Amino acid sequence: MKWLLFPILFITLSGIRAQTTKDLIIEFSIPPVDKTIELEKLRFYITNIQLYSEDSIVFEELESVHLIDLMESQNSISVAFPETVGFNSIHFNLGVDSLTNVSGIYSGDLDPTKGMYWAWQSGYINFKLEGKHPLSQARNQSFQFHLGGYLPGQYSIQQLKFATNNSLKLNVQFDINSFFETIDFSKENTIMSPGENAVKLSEKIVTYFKLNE
Amino acid sequence: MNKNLLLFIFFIGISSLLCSVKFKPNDEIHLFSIPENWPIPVYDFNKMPLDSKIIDLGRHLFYDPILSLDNSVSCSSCHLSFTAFTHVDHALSHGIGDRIGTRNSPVLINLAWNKHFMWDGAINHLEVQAIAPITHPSEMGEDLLNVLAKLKQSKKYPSKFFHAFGDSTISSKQLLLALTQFQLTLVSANSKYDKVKRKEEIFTKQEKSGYKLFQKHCASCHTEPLLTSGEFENNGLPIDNTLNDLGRGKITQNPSDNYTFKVPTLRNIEFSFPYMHDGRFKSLNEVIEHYSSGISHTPNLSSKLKNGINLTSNQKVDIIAFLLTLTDKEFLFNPDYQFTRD
Repeated sequence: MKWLLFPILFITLSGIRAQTTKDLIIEFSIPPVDKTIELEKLRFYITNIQLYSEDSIVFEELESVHLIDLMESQNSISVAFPETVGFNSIHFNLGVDSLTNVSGIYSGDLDPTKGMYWAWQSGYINFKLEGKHPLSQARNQSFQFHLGGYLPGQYSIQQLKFATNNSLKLNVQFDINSFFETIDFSKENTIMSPGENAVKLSEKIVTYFKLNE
Repeated sequence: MNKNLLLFIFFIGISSLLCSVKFKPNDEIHLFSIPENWPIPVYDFNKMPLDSKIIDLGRHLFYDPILSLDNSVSCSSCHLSFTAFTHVDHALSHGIGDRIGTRNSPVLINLAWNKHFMWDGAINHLEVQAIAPITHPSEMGEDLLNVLAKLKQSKKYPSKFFHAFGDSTISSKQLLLALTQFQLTLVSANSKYDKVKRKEEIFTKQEKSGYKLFQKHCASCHTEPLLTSGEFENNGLPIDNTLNDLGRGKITQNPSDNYTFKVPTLRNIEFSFPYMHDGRFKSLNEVIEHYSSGISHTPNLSSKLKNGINLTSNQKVDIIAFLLTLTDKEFLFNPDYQFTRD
């Protein structure tokens, strides 16, 4: 009778597959920027999306890596999760975790041709912001913030947590104007490698991601 | 039908299925095997088993200047098989347009056991290593997307990629995996030293004396059997003010790593001159002389070298005699590692 196992297994597996899911849409945006500032690039990684009910994790997205590019209107993530799951908070990372950083080559959003990988020193750029600011002392009044780093002392990955009540659509706004106000562009306009400056700026930037109710 | 027979067929089916999944190519064993008494490789072969078709593609790419901006420089320009895959006779290696870099190109030997790549360990995984030389302005000066575009337009590569990966998209992942698989096959484990270890040959008296001295003075960093610990050390080279190379310190930004560089393997050292990260020594004599009388007490000098290595002139000759037993002619002249047309 053992041969019966096979069809039973098959039916069970298809049953799991057929489980109905819901989609959670997370949209990222920025408010209109002051006309004196020119934005050229704004890209970042959103990874390890988790749904929580109270203090326990109820859903974790597999292979959870999303490259957001707000200049190319690649600004939304769709997360399919089981219908039965209820949650009241969502957690995700701004940046690529250490394990992924040391595990070789990837395709998709982690493809090194996406402009978010440092060639000469292995590692992903978690957050990339480029443009021109009237106060910048750099060439062409440009500013370039390439933030990343996963080594001890250079760890720049940040976590975001938002309370939400089973809402299927979240709008997360990066309050870029308030962030710009904190930067002295005459001194701080270029970060291109991991290190203390990248860590500090990453810690600051994450505080300007807000949930739009 | 007989129940037992059905069961038997079922198990045969399942086991052949399992086998085909686990050992995709039948010749995996011949493509790579761990030499006797060697540690487990650092590279995770489970992720993607070696495949002779992918290795072949990687070999073609390794020898193809299409990877460089002006189609003039290939990987092999700085990593020549006959010289243990390094840039022989160049202290600092050069790339396109005769642009000179700041380091001596390292040998490509037993890379499956490497934890870090480059002299400063800037690269953390073999699969992403090639991105650095392909895109570095003083090496191949190219852009990955442009390389992919050139490969797609070539006559040769779409079919080669299809043959290797079952599709002809030609992605950066496929390009880098092919280069990785070829380089993983570059295993050197058949020197006289290895044969002595396997009791197939014996050292001469001089080599034996050199080996004992080596074990006493050198093996704490050049650990057997790979002849490197893979760690970073400052071996007391006077600082070259024209380069001011901080080595590992530039990567970790930890001052206690300044002036440390990755310990290189000594395998095939007879052919991998010039020596040191900046190629400052042309001969093994100069190298031994450095350790015995040239140690400079720069910051973070390896604790093992605080007092230098005191050697008589006979002992120096003996150590060099031992170092020559690390030459692996089968590796250096392996036809599978060389340029191929088809």
